[in-house]
Amino acid sequence: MDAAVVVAQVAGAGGAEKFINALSSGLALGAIYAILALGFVIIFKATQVVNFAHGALAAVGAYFTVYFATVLNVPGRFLEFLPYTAQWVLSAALAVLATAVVGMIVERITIRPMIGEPLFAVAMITLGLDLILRTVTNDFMGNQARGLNDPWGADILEIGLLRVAKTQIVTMIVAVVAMLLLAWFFRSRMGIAMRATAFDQEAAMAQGISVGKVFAVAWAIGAALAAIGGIFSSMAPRASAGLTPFTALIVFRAFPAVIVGGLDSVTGAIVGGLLIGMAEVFAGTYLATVSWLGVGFSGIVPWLFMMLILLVKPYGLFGTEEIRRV
Amino acid sequence: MTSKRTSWLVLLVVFALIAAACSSGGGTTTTAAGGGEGTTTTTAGGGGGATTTTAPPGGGEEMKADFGVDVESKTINIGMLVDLTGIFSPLTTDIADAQIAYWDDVNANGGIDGWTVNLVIEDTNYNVDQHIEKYEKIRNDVVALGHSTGSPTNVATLPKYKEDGMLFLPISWYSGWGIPEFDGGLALEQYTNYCIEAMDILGFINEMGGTKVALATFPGDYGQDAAAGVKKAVEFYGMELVYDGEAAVIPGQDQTPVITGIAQSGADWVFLTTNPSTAAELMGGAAQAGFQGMWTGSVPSYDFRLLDSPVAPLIDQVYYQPGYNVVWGEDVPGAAKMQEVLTAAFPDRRPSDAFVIGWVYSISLHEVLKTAIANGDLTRAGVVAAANSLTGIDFGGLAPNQSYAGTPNEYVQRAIAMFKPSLEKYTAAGGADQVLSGEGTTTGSELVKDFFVSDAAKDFEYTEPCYQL
Repeated sequence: MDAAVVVAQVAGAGGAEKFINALSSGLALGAIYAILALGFVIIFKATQVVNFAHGALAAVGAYFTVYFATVLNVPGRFLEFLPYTAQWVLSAALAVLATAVVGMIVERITIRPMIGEPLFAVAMITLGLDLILRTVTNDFMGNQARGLNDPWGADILEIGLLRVAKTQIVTMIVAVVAMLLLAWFFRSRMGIAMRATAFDQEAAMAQGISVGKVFAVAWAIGAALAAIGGIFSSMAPRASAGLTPFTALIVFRAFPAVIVGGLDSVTGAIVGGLLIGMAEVFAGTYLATVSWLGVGFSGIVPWLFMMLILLVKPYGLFGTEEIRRV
Repeated sequence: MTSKRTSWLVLLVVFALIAAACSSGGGTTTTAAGGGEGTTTTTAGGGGGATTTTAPPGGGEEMKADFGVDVESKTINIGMLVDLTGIFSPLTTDIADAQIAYWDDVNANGGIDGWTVNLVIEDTNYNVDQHIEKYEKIRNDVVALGHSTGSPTNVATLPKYKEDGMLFLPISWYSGWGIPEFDGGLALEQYTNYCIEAMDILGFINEMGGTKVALATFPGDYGQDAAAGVKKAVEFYGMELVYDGEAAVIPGQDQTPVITGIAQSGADWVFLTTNPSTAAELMGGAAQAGFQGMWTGSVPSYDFRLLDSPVAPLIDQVYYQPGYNVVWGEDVPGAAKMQEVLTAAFPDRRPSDAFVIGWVYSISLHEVLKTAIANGDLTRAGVVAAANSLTGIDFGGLAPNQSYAGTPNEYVQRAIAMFKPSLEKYTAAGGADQVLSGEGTTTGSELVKDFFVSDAAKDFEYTEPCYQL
């Protein structure tokens, strides 16, 4: 009966429009998840640290954007000849850069002294960092939702049956650009050093690679990606009021993407992000009328999907299998 | 050796922190007792306290008091359990600040017959555990609560209020607060409640020609009390509830199911009972999905600061906002004093409709304390008795008059007003750059229907909470 309800939604009047719009929303949400998952994976891959402060870094990045774009208007105030979109993009880029610096500072002060200590203890430190960063960010944010004042607002683009928010188009473009830049980075000298460090830290050190520098760069890139994810999580239509204390929590919704893709796989983070985003939106779109599933069902679909994948592929779709001698 | 030393240091720090946390008085303001001597007699009081009957220094009427009242210095301590950092803090911070300004002004002008009102303020973060914890902290220091944010928080703390016989003014408009069997006669509810408010709004929708309604609310006594009112009114007016999202909106979760439900419903009106940022998310999402109906919702669902957000043009076009009181900038007799005091207190703050709420609440509490003082009884029981005897409290047009004597069906407030947010009006006045010390400040709302009671609300027999906990 319920299956018939779902089929009727797909095949019935307006079914194609609904499907196309769900697909575009799912891809846009998936792009945010993929960006967040990428940052998470890069830090894990290079340092073996599960970074629970990733969501807090996302909120820090979004707050920097609010501050630079709407409070200080930098660098826009010095570049008034540029169109507003360009000024805003520069403010956002500056915010991403500032968050990368925060990531490096965090790594230098709290993570590097723990090299060689149990990974569980390091993970606990990141949990503490999450609380500290979120509390500080919320204090700066104040008790209001803070709009990012982005140039796209709640504008919607209509192309045939497709209705997509302009912010979602920008999200997808930025995600693709970020992925291409990462692919290029991993072929660079530092990227190769990072891959070597991820493979074997001691061997990398023996080859003259500065593991400390690799850690710092990994945290900077991870934090920058978290910031990008945080910025797009604070925009219409998903967060029409702007940045709120809930923004930091989106990373927990992105977490299944990391696991589905494989904790140490960059490709996995991208594929996992897109799959989880689409699973969440399609469940929300097509199962909303199936009352016995409950109101929060779409929220648990990513986790059910993750469990299903792990039963078949315990290291995720693209994760490296751990080989043990017995 | 170093490790042992570090361990001792850590232990020392932990003990220091525990000692600091256990010390009393943090964040609590108290007023020093004045000089002079009075006559005091003590009798056994309820709730483990003692009732003292004291003649103030220099003679005068005797005053009975137990908790939170210093008869010698003529000081009355009032508790304020405020969400200063949680999801409703944009609203409740402004409410509390208006209350602070009101009482500062009263105290500066001789108090209530010479009695000074001292506010004891605690942040509850709209969190049930913190609300209870903060109440525990101040319960023996105050005679009543002049502000207590939230429905779930107050419901959870109600057994303790009952234990103490504590009068409280809930910043919550749950329909249980007007029913003595539920609240023990301790809640001094202001305005109407979510349930009757919803009936009035549906009456307005009916007048506007709406027939198909979609409903989306938070779970719990806030969202579901309003949902109960919507459903009663839908039946009353013969409307159709085309999407029932009662309790379907969970803050922080993906709202796709609710957005899809609204967009597919074919509704001509959507009724929301959420917080403002979630309302914006639902409106933005539904607009993207092609929904073109009108929107409205319970008072706390809207905040004028949404006119600063990307959905401002949408709000300007499709949102109607109810009001328990007039909005900031409205020209009514009671507004001049409020604007004068708040402008003096916060010249650089933005105007806010929530200031009006705080001011109205303070007038009610003022009447309660004035009556209790006149009765010579500032015990908790005396304050509760004074509150429940009041009729026709006049807010100078800021809100409809309020009464507490009689049966719930007689005294319940049933009126609301309807407003339309206007982006043009808001922007022309300076938008987010407005400050109270400026001229013609406004939150951008325009009155479209003055205080009214709908037919559905008028005929409603109010004898129990609409939504049973």
